[in-house]
Amino acid sequence: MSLALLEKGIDDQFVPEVRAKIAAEREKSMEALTKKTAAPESDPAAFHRGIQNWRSEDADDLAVSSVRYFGELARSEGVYPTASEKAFWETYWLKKLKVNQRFEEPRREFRVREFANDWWSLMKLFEAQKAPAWPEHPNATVQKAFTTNALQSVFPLFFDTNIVAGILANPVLERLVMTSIPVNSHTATHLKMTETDADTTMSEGGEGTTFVQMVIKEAERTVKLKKFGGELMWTYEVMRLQRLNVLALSIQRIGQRYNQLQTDYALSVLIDGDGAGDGAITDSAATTTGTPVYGDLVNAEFVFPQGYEPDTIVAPKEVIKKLYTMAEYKDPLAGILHQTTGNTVNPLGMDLVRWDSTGRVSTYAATNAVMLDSDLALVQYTEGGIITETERIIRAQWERAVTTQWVGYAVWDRSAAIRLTGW
Amino acid sequence: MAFTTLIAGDRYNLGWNIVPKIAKSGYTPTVGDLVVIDTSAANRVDVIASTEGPYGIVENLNGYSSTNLLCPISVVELVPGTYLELPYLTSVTLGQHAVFDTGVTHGSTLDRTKIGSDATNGTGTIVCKDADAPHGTGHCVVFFF
Repeated sequence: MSLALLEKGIDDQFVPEVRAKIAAEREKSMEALTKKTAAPESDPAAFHRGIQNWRSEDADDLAVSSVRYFGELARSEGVYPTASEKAFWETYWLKKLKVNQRFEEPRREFRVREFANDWWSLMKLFEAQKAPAWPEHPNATVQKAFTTNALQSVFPLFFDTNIVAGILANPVLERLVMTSIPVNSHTATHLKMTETDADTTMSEGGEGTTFVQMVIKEAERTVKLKKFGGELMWTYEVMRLQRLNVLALSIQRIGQRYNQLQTDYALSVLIDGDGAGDGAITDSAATTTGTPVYGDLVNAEFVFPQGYEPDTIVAPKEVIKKLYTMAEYKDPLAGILHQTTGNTVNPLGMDLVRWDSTGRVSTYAATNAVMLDSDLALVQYTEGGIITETERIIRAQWERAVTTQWVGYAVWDRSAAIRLTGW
Repeated sequence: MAFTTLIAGDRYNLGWNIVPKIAKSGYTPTVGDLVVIDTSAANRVDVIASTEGPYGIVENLNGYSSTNLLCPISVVELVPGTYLELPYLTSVTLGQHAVFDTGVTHGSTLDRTKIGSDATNGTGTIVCKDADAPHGTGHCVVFFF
């Protein structure tokens, strides 16, 4: 008997049995997860309250986002995607949210992959309760999901998940923020890097000599977080008629708008400071106001001290138009090819990120842009993640969902960003 | 910090203040119309006119049509504690009441009846306008009390 035949014989004998066992185990896991999430009639809000009260034992009693909580809960109960499902849905979300399309986005990619798995767990629970909500497939009505006992309590998570999907859809905020730190207070004790060359430069010594001592200095400041939120209302009739995937898209749109608000907030902190003593950004003005030239861009690059590597220019459309039409960037023979491929120029090797002036940040006008080292510039603080709660107003047959989040931003290294003015 | 966000906006659905009403004979309602109570018959509403201020706003026409004129329409009652964003016609003054302005026209951005403001006539108090209102220039938020 050949080795191949032997292998096939073993497969035929054992694989179906193993598969059946795995399927049974997965079914049991889903049942366990359903029990954990089902709302007891005596206390319908128990599961959701559990989410809000849950604190990570591994991370200093920090509250975490409800979406992450559910993903971890599902995994702990044995509900997680197979390797092929994981790969498929991660790829789906990476492509849908256009991650890495214009430039490399390691942070957003990480978050989207993590999100895809948490989202999968929720979708699997919906599917198990005969209320499928997978994209590009026939979906259950919102009402079906909202009135199934096991899903009633997790329905707010459906909101949270899609708000997060909407937030992740925009690359600008992720580009501005070097890291996101969950905290358990509405004020964050922020450490700002303050060391100078003299603090951290080695010196020459000799055999048997001692060496200079170096210090990593940090300044402690208190950053206050802000609370954002909104109330969404819809009638029973809307719920009966609308499908889950349509509702998901509507909520994602709200998430995208929320992301825009947060991006403006982050940008304002980067430019004006967080109000806790970090000061304002350094400006680099165009030599001739309103008519910037290539030299102005180069000048801005060298405002950064040695050792910093600015990698991003956040600019409104007006500034980007001027960049595109500069002699240095519009020549197709130079290989830019925006004319035919739509490729974006990378001025001085930096990623050009479009962010128009919305009017919410008075110091970021149509004649401004921000050049930054995205690994050093800004830190995001969150407290408790996004929280959605829903209630039914039986009297007039309305459903109401209230979504909130506490978030704040702080400058990490003031030298890691400059503002271009007069463009 | 140079970051400004809006804090004003619609807060009008209290969960119990939307009621069925019937459009007065001769009035063809549209969603977003500001209306007053009309006593020509029971439970009637009419669109605002003259120096009137709004009692409510049409939320849904339900089955109303030219062949079903008595079908109830859903009207949000602007009861104390509600906030409503409205477009204005020419100008409004903070602190004044919301009142009918020339002609019943709807805003092109926010599809609701345009109002004016008056120190004596009308209802509610205009608490913010233009850049401080969600839909920007040409809009205001009225608090009803």
